[in-house]
Amino acid sequence: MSATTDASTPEAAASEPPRRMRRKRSDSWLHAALIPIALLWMLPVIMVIGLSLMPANDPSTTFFGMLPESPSLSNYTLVWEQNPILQHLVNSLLITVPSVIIVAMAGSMAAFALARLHVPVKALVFGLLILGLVLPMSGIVVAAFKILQAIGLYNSILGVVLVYSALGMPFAVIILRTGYLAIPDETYEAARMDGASTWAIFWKIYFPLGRPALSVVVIWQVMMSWNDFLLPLVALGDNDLKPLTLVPLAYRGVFLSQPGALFAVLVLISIPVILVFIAVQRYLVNGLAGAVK
Amino acid sequence: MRERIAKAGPGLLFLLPALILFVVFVVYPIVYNVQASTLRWDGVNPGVFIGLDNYADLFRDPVFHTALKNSALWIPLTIVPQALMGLLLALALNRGVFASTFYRALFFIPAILSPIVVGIVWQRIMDPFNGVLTEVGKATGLDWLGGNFLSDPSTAIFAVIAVNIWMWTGFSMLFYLAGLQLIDTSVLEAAKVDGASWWQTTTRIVFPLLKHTHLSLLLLGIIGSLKTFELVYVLTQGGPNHASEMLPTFAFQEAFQLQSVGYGSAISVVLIVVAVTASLSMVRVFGSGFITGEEKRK
Amino acid sequence: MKFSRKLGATAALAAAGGLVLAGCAGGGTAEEPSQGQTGTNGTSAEGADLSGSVTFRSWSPIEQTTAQMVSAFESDNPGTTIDATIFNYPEYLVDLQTRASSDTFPDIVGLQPGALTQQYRSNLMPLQQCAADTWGDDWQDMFYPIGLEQARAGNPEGDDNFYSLPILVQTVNLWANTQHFADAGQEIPQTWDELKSVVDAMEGNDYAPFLLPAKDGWLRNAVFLQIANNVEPGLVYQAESGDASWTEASIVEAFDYFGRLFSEGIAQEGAIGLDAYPSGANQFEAGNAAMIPLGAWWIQQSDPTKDQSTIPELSLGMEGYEPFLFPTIPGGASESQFVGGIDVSLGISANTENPDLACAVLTDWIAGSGGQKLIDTMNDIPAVQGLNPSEFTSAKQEEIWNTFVEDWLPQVEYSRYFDDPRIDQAVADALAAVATGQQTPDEAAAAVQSVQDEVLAG
Repeated sequence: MSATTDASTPEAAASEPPRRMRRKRSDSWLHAALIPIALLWMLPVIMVIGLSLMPANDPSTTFFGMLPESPSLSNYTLVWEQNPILQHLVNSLLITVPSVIIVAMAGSMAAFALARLHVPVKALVFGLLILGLVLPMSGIVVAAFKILQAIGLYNSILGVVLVYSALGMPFAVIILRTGYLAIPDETYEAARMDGASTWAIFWKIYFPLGRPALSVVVIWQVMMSWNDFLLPLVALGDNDLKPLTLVPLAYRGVFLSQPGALFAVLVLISIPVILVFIAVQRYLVNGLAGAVK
Repeated sequence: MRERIAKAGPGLLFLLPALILFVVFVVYPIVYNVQASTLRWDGVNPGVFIGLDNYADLFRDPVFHTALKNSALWIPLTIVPQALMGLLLALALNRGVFASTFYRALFFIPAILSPIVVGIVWQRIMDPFNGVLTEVGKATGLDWLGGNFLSDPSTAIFAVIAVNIWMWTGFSMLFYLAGLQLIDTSVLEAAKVDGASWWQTTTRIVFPLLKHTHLSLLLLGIIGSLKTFELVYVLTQGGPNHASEMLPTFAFQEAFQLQSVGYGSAISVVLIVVAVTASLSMVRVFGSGFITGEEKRK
Repeated sequence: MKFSRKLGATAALAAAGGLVLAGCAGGGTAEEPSQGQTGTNGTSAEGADLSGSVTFRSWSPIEQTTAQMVSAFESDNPGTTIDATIFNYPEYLVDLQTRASSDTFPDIVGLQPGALTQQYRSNLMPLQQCAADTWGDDWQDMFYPIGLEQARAGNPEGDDNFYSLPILVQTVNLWANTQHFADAGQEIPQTWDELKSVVDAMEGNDYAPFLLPAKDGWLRNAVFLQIANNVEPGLVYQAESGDASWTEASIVEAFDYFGRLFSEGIAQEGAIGLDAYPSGANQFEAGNAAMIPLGAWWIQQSDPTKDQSTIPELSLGMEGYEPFLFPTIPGGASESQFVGGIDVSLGISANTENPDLACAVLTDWIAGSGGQKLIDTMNDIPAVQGLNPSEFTSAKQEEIWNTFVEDWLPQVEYSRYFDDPRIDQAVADALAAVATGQQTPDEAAAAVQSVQDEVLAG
């Protein structure tokens, strides 16, 4: 397939293709179609934001029930005052960042081994990877807890990090490996000829060239380890260690008495993920290009 | 070529970190589930070994049949629309329209949101008493909008599927955007010169060239469908009367709410077996190229 | 291929290592409860020098209230700490199971009576000694009878221990929006026929006459039990113990009346898809309904400890509400029956390292200064009689409170729960099937009976 050459040099793929220039004309009909679709698509999101602005003392709504009649920021101030949001935010970062780094490193290494080094029984490896993809958190939480306890990592952020890293590994390996396979064999062999060690080839050539595929893995891993709450809930006993995702529990409670506050927290939690997405989405599109190739 | 150069040693070393994590935190829980599935066990007090009885009971359980049927519905009914709409959006955005970055983020946001919020909001949207759709229906005369989508056993699963499509279409769009960037524009230009219409180019050239994207989405879609949990749990709790039950919600309910960890584990094991079988047979049917990337070398 | 075998062996070894480390599924880790442990230590909340810390995990009371109870206890008892974590109920079940099977059971746990308490019985300490040491030998007189009865629900024959003690109790009942009733010129319905005529009279307004948030199984069951006990008081519990059949005419009739809520247009459109919290409660509080089936805990909407400016008009001092019992059924009991029971009860781990402190906390929260903090929020009705909020925000609120604590709760005879979770689930499923027309009342009753047969067979 001729497209291979295109993907083989991520620099080329990352730079804006010239064909875009020609397409700028007569986009107005596209916008005419896209704007209403996008608006429709956003309605539930607007509703989420709307409900987060619904003050506790006036649960009445307007505009087909989507927006509060008297919007106010009271839920946000309430949430901010009642919870050490910054502390939880730090914990969330302490969980998410290391798990992303571990998955990125160990995943890249494994993907490199599977793409370029001698590892037989690929079907078995593939089957194992699928096993990792398919496990739902609720099905493994009890077993994972027992392991963490056995290796002395109960009530430790590191334990949570390791579980997320393990669960994120299959997706990372599949995506990164396909990315690495798009790098032509000649690159590998030329480096070999120059006497580069296997590690040097991985670290100096493949790892940087695989950056676009890596950004896919990063966003996926951020989404998973940032959003999950079941594992930290069970595995972290100390309130000081708890991540941001456990804050909504205070507002769900038995009787979910403050839906506005709940929504406010959930909006706050979503913002960092959206920021990460925006930051890496340029790579993401190119990264997936490497991956699906 | 590669086999000749490489030796097993470095391969193992490079795999090791991932493998250790994987075996400890993924393989062990599976072993644990398999073992628990042979017990009559409430998860707390000593269990009784009952061999394969849980599986025998499970295969006779009508709820299990419903859950399997729902999974069978869920897989095509989410994957196909998500892929189609995602592809259309990608085709539109790939033209480099103004603010395409903005549109991309917009369509991807639902995938980022917590299923808890998504569930509560869509319940408010579809509530036939005075939900958004009902109100819109009243205002426009389209009374069918106010239907009992979530509460009617014959439509509940479809209502949840619709929400799932809303959540994950942006994800398919991103995959297609990526795939489209790889298509050699000269092929398209040539087709244009030959007088092919946009429709012809898209269906006859672009669509087949996106094969790897289709297959990746299919694989992720099948696995994602089988392990769907939160959305169903929040929207319908698998109801009414199990009408929208999926395997993970069923397993959760048995293991934790009905104190039957053994039975719940049997459901999880079946789920794992189904997922692996489906994925491996996909590889059989379509070739492993889309996963191993080897096909392009042929 | 040599390599692959090595790989396989490594994996197998590692997996085996994990197994050895983490143990197998199916083992019971709890030690036999040490009978009278607290007694031998001579526990007494007063006078004893308490120190150290205990952990508490539960799904109720809500987090903010729990924090107040914790600080009330800690300031009364310097040198003690309580590490409290509050969950949603489903996740709490996951957590409790994880901890029970890994020897990290919390010192104090929140429990529901019946099945949940029984599941963890081997992890729990009998509490009567703790209670007697703290409150005296006549401690049982403090509690509402239904609370004590349910605390031991499901105990094996001959085991009279209290593995949990109730902290909050409640009735399940209906609530009226009195404004809508006044505007429509209607009286609160006492009988089924009145209920129907009230709903008819209220039809066509911009609110639902009878808002039934029936998505939740617990709510369906609570409404069904009110109906069933009004048809033939007590019969369903006999059916659950095997002394009667679910297919008896009176129970089928109860299923039928439940179904009529839907088929005769009493409940709003789509009732079976609406959840009680947040949607149903929100609608009711926003004035979008004239009646809703909930329970005594609804009084918490008027929480006197809350910033009163954040409370909606209807809820302020319970201004717009009136509790009432589910209407009588034609041919059934002449009076509406009281259905209710424990909201949440507390247990102590059999292996707690600090039983004195755990006992002191538990009793303080039930009837001491922590309990006072809890009751001040009107979270629900206290399990002990005579504990009242320090402050009422309106005469109406006080009147409703007194109705609950003086009039209703002492009369509660029938439980809002089933003892076995499978029956609970079977009834909830059958009710959904009746409500959606999938099953006739006869079929629904038969479906429950078939689960009942399995449960009784073990």
